[in-house]
Amino acid sequence: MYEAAGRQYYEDHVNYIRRNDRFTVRTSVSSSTNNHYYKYVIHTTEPRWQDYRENEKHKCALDFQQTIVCCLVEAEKLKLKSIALPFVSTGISPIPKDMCAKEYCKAIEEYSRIRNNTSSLIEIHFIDKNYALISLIRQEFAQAFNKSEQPCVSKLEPGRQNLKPYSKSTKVRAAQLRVRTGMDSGNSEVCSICWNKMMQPKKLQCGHLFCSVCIDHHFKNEPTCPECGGIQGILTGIQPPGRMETNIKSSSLCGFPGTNTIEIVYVIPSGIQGAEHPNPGRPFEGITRRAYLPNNTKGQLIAKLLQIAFDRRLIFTIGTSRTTGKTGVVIWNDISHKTNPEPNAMFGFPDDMYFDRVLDDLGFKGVTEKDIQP
Amino acid sequence: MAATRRLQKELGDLRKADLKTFRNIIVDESNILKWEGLIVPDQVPFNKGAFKVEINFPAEYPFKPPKVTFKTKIYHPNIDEKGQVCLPIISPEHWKPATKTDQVIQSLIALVQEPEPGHPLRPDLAEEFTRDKKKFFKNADEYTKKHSEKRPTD
Repeated sequence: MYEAAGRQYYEDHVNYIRRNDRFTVRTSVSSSTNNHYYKYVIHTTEPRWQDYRENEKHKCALDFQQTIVCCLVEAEKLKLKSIALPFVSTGISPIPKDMCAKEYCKAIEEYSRIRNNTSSLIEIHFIDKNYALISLIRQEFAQAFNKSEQPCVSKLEPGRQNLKPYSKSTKVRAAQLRVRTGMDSGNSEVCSICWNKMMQPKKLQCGHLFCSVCIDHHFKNEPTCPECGGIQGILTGIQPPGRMETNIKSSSLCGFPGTNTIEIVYVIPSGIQGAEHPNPGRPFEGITRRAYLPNNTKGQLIAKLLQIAFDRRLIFTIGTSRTTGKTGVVIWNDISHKTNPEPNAMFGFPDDMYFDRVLDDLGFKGVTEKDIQP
Repeated sequence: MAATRRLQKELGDLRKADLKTFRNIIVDESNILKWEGLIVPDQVPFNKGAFKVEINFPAEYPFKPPKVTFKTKIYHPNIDEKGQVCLPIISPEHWKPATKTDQVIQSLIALVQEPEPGHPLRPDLAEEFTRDKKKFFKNADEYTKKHSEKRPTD
């Protein structure tokens, strides 16, 4: 963090530690930074689930809520307009995720109440690399707050300006949830495309508003929100024609004893690159790929989502092979697959994180459970 | 033209903001699509000089991103000899029309001060930067003294 935030941050930090000694839950302190993207870092201590007795877990929830309120109040003191919160208390000794989501909502309600609905804070962002967590909290907010002010979930690319401190060394992809506090923002009537007074405002799925003329013009280029980058409508890829089959195998994957296996076979025959590909008119080399999932509820769900992704031409793309360096070949398109059925193999099972990861990957391409027809 | 009106406002805001690290913004009266400015880094090894950059906005702005070029030579892994710079925020696939020029400039300054050797335009410098930072700093410092613009005195 020192590297990202600079010298001032470090000094504030050291000074604080020198002056004070313990730092408890329900308190927060800030240090300034030399960074261009954020002015301060707010520190707090997260309550740990295991520190509370079985019959006192509700206290943990309340402490958690108050800790968040504390951070928001600290931000207000600094007259900040926006704050980004990572998911606290989900690391060591985590608080159950659904409880976290609920408490986040309550914390914001509580904050609005004590501030009597006036605040310098206009936007509160929730950031995490786990898409599932963000979805959870999004649902919670959608339920708790006015439906018309739906918070938006958007995807942040590595290297994007607002994510830079996180993405410097590791390739973290993060999902973010942006909640408008609904408090007076002053210039909400200005379209962020033309910077003029909004004419015939049009609202996107994510809640952002633009002039009709401006947004229609933008949609001719791409189906994303000009503000948060959230995908509007359905995203499709440039995967060449081919087929996807699923078979059930009687063998079991490592970590799933007694469960048989879904084998997915993708076949993309060789062909000529089309107008949407890197080198139109040039040939590309086809492929056959196999992938494996346990035949349980989760595996079946993922298989269904992969089928949707395949139909939207998102599983493969044409590009340069990462392993051979060859150009104009059919390659994976950033959706994780388990291509080896052998136990403990690379690209095989066991892998506790795989299900979350592939659901994240699919989520980033706009493929979620909501897309499955009942 | 939508671009002109927005750019006039952006320019006004930027001049008002009076950034220490981006100064001397010059815009041709007859063509608001072309800006020139001076990057004045405050961190080593570029803090002994200043660097002229040109920002070119397309007529379709803000639907299409601006282009940034360095007019002053700089010893930097992410800026090539022609002054071209690879800045994700204005790459066609990342561009968002709501992105302000102010953010583009901040992002540019951040890149100048903190090179990203992972995505270099000059692999030789990126390698030197990762392998031998001291040497890189020394070379960059000398290069800056020799080739860069004078820093504003105030």
